[in-house]
Amino acid sequence: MKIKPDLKIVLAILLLALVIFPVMAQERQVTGTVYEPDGVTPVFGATVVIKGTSTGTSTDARGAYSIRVTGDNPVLEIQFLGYVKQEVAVGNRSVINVVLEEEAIEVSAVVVTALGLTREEKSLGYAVTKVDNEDLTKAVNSNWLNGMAGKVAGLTAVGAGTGPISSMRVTLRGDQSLNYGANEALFIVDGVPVRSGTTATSGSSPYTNSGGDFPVDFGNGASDLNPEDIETVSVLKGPAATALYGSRAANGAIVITTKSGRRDKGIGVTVNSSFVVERAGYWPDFQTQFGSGSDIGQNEYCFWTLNPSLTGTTDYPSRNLSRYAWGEEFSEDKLRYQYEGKDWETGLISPTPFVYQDDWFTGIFQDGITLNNSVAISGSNGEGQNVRFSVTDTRNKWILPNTGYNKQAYSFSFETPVNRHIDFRTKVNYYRTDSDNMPMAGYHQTTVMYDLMWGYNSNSMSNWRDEYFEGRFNAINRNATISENGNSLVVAGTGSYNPYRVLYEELNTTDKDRVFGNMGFTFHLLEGLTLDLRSGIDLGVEFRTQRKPKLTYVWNNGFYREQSMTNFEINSDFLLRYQKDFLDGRLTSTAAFGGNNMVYHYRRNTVQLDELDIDGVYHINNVPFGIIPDPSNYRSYKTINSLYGFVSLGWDDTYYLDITGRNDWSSTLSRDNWSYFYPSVAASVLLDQAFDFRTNLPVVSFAKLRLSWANVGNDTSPYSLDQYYSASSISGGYALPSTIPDPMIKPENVESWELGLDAKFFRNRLGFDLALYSSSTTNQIVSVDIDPIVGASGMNINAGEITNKGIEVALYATPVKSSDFTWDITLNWAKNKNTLVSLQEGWDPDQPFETDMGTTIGGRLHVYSYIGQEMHQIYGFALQRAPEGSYYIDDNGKQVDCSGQVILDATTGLPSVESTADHFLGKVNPDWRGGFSTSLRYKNLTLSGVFSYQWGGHRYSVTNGILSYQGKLTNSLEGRYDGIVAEGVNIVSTNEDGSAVCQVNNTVTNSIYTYYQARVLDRYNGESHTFETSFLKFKEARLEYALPAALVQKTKVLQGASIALFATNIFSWDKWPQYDPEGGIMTGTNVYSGVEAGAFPMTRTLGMNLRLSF
Amino acid sequence: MKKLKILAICLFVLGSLYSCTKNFEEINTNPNTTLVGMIQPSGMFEPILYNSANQWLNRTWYYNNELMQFTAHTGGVTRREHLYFLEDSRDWYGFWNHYATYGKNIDHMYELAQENDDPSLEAIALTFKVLFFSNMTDMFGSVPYEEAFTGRKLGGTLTPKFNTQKEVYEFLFEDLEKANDIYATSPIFLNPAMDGMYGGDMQAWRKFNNSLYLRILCRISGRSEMNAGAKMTEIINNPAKYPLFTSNADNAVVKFSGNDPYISNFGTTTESDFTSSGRKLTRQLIGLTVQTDINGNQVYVDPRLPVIGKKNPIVEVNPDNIWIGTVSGCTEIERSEVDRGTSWLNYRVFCRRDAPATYMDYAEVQFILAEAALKNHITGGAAAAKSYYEAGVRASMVKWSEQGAFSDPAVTITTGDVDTYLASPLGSWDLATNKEEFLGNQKWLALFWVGMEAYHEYRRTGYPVLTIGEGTVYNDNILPTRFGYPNVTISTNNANATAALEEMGGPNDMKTPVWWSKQAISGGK
Repeated sequence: MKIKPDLKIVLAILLLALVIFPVMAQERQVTGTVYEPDGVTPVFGATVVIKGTSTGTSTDARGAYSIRVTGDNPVLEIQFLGYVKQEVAVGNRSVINVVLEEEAIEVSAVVVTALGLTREEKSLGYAVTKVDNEDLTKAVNSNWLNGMAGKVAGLTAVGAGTGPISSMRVTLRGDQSLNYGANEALFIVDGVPVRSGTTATSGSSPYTNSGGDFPVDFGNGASDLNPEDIETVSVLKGPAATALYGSRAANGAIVITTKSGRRDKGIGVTVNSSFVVERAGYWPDFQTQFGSGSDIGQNEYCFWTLNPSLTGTTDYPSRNLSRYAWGEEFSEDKLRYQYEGKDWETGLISPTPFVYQDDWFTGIFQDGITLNNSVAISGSNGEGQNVRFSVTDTRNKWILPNTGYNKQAYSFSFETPVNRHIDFRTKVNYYRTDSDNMPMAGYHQTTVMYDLMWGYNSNSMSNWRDEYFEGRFNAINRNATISENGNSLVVAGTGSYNPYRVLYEELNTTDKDRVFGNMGFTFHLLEGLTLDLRSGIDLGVEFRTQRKPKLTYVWNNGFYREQSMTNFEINSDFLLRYQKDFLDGRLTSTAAFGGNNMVYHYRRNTVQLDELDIDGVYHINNVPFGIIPDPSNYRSYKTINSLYGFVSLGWDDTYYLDITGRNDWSSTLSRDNWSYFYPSVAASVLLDQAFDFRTNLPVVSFAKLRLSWANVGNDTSPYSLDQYYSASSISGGYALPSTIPDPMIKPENVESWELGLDAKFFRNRLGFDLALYSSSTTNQIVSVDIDPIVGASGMNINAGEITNKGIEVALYATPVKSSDFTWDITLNWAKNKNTLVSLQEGWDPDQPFETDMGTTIGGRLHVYSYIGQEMHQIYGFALQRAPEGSYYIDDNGKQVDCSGQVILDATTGLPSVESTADHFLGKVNPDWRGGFSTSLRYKNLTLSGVFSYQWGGHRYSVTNGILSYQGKLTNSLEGRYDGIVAEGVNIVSTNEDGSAVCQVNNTVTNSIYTYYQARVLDRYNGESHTFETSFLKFKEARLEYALPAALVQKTKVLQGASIALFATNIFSWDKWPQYDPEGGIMTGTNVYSGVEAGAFPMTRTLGMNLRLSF
Repeated sequence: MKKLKILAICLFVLGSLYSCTKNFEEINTNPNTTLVGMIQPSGMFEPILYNSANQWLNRTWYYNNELMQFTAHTGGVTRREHLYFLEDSRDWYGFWNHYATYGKNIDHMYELAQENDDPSLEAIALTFKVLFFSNMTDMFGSVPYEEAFTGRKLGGTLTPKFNTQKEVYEFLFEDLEKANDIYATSPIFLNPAMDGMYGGDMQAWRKFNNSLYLRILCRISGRSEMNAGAKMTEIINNPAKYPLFTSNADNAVVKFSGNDPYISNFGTTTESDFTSSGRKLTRQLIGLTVQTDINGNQVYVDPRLPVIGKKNPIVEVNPDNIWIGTVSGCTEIERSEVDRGTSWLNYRVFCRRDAPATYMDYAEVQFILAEAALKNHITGGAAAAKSYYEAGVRASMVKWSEQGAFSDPAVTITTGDVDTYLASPLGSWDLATNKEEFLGNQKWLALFWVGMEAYHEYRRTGYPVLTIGEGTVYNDNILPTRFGYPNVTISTNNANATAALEEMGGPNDMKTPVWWSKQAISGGK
């Protein structure tokens, strides 16, 4: 079989795209009026377009139109929102009046489901949420997944605030697996799975005080996708929806369809340009009254170790500095020997006013700018052959100096019939991303945010800038033997560094090329029988470098790492489908049988220099004598073969039943376990049809009740069956692995139920979709922590059960709809409860299961799950409180219960921190979350807004802890000089039952430093730094003006034009102390919720967008 | 015809898919590394020797020095070990995991050595096992010994029962005897170049084995039921069967070549990170190494002090160029005052790529014998004690003198210098009023930079008498008596851990004494 695409047509289309010339033909005028169904009321704003062309107009206030037609058999298309599109052949007429028909109830909406099959939404027995391109491209986000937030009930996209392309973890309906990294939704592009995860630069945690390696966020795989090329996104939430995708979609799937060429004959060009300015905000609540110091202002602040030859006086203080802000009160009148007071040419040091520097923290941030330009050409010969080609160029300059990225996306789509029986189609996308520097994120000595948190609030950012750019950051100035703690702005050895040096010299580069696409044939074998053959690849090649000059924390002699990664996946599948109607079309049926072969290869080659020979030179040969570069290479290979089939039955367009079955054979499991089968059943009934609501209950335009059940299996990662040595840096040296595998590990199993009701009223002006679901994951393949004394620190087992139960509601309404004015509202709300039902056998139920976050904030904070309770709860230190049953006697001699109040020492007035980090501080997962969006259209002007909200989650903030205990925030202002009488009780005596007799505290706490720094605001006192993450965010606003069709038409060239202004993250109402209440921390390849550690500030953006189509 | 075509396509598709699972086992074979059990025992040796030595150096610096008041990290604000801020994941789990991880690798080397008939590594594995297990039990109290490391083997357990410290010691004695017997057969160490400690010399390993025997006998010598004295006597009376260290040349010292990856732990650390910005010498150390006259003038200094330490060179803060120590356990308000002009560790000595790491030295053997003689566990009494003591000090001086060569300026300790020291109020046996305390103090000095030994010995003897600062609020002003079992132990092996704690008589904290400690013995536990 040869494919013979009509090359001439392709070529012609491309040529036409370059030279747009008007088609000269015979022209004549057609006029007429468009009426509403009553045949009297004129319709204003209806569009009248000549079919197959770009020529069009719209009706005026009297419903009248006038249009010039050309060609042999022109056909007019008359269209107006809410009415059926009409086609009228012009013939010889010159006046054509049209009476519109109200659109029938919109039941024929089509969605993309598993295996890329398009199905009528009404026939589905499970929930599918569709997001259109428009919703994703309305506002330009660094990661298009951001645009999904708040738009789909049950979808959670969490980023970590880690840089220009913040990776996001996308989950649907909660975490199914104890294995935190195995909960993400599967991404499918044009029917073929694509890799969405992140590839870590290293597995280190983003909270640490030792070790010099740290995750850099280069973006996750799904963030590569270009939103401009996305046609629609279908979110398949439950296993029933994804059962045909098999094990990888056990957590639901995000099914993306990219754009194809236009269907109607002709050529179209769309140009889209946007310009976005991004500004950091949502700052911590800094105090501005007290300066650097750690002794409550008892001694004068003095940055330098002085002597008379430096100051010209013998009356100088001794060096007294601290990065804390527990020092003297600021005053213009206080002259202090500060960093800025040194004349670096003469070496003389003079005192300067000791005042708060407004830019000490924020001064490093700049306005980020993103330019996004795309051109898309689309053409069709009107006979089934179509092509689309687009190029998008994105240039980002981020909010920190010397960071950002460039990205180009090329997308090509081509469809053609090969002959009467065979169709061919292909889609190819090529993305390249490169960056000269992506910043390191997290709380660590080598990140900018750490440097800022540990800066002096009496020191302007310009000092840091000057120190770096004037070359004062050097070994001599950092040497503590020169002066007590060196001459550099941050004292030697304390770990934090000049942020400008971090940004200009500790570079993390990336160069990423990715191709994915597929090609396939559809054979129309017999009436109703088709065979699809398709093969898709996803090839990603990335090259990264990480550079650290000498004198970097931990890497005192420099560091260089090169990393190459290849991800390669091929999916080949076939699907044989037979469709036939019986009994005069009352019974519709489709049966299909298919198979898939998935092959996945991963290769990672890393070479690391732990020392550099020549400073500032980065290549793998720049090694000093005696140092051997450490290579670390890894490759893996995995394959899954599958067979599947389904039967879909429909009765009277009213009752539907879907049954699917799939068997997977995964290479990652042992012979006895590598084959596993799972079925699904989904049924739905259209109540409006069944009970003839059309006549009986006309307000109901549509009502569907659906019920589904599914069971899905899940495999594990390659090489998890046997014990393999881990290599040592010593050649020929080995160590035992840290994990004990289970060779007989069984596939995971997710079983789920879903019940849904979808109803529309008042001719679709109002509607809701309600879903109730319950899922249970058993036989979890999970690595549990075990006591290292048994011979390993972890073990892979099948254990435990997790359940997710939830409700999702989507509401939509069009309160106003007239020819000039339309107002739409959509609202969604989702509640999910994620419960740990059981763990491995023998697990003491009083003991928590700790989510391996890669960090537990040094053991001071834990994210625990207890058997029988909701998962992911935060535990940590808290102040000691009066035990249950404690009381005091008030002035009237009455006994007042005071259990739970803070215990304060009667003499000092100081509270104490509990000795173990086991105080419950809040649960990570919110009670409910959702979004709200609205759009108002008046004529050609559209105003839209998107809100998202969440209620009841909690998160621990390292940033708040660090800034608070250093006295840099307003929460430590009270009583700085005069002491405070803290609220709480003193213990008078303790009763036998453990309760206490107390008295109300009257002691004045004078040790303010200890009170705040070591007790109430101690960085490890989790209670003080764990906050609710309830919020209401005004996420997006957009005002768009589309050029009126009449005006567009006059240009002769344009088909449409619009200009829009938009803003994102406009406001957030929350109790979170700084930045973004949403998000987590990035560790290795995961984004963990529940902890924030050195996140970058949340940004507001303001952008402009111009879209022209020709 | 057309139908045939269709059929052919279908069959082809089906056929190509269902060649199927036949390569699965091959696909799922890890190409990156070696299956456990497929290597020679020597593959385990170097990582154990070098990496554990480095980890140990780090722990000495990070924990032992801070708890034992050699140094105090008063300079920064986040390190609070000297304030007894020690908790589960970094500290308790850190130690537990350190011992367990090396323990399991040693255990595996032992298995491989038996399977591959390599007696030299079999014996070395036993010696190492004792080194790690004795430290583990000394740190935590009761620990699993008999059932440890079986989780990864067939028929093993994930919930090993704990052995009491007494039981563990009895097992360790057996291990040492067994190793000593193997060494006695003079097995061949197949690749001597691999042995960065003794160059494959089995007799040297044997001396280490038996010196270690002496160390752990000394550790439990307060427990009369163990009859440590009798065994010590047997050992010293039978040097042919139980050869011990006879000079510093026998020391169990890992020698790093300085070439990658054989780089000493602090080989690339800056002076700031190592000491000057944080960990300063303490008044405790200065007090025992500097003799001050009634006017407060520093008149005589232990010759080892300028090797391990360095006066603060900044004139502005140390105008008199004297030794100043900071206060371990000080409060934040005291900090800026007591920290001024304080002395540092000698960066040039410790932060060399080829700086050695000591598991055990000859001086310690002499100090063990001195104490044993003084307490009449072995014969000789006070006179023998004095001569053992002086031999110990001489050995310690010689050891540090070798390191002094790397100091700037170089420090050499001559025999005359040692004589002077032994006659001075700092080092004179005869001038000491309380000989036990004097020996304890001197042993503390000699154990500087040797693992966690000073911490263990302090809990056994109560010497030197340390000052507990007011800032040590994190363990209620109690110097940790042990480290707690980590959370994972309590979670996954709860019944056994709880039983062990009950037997030790306290909750899982840092206040319950270990079995051989002075506190336990004097408390009648």
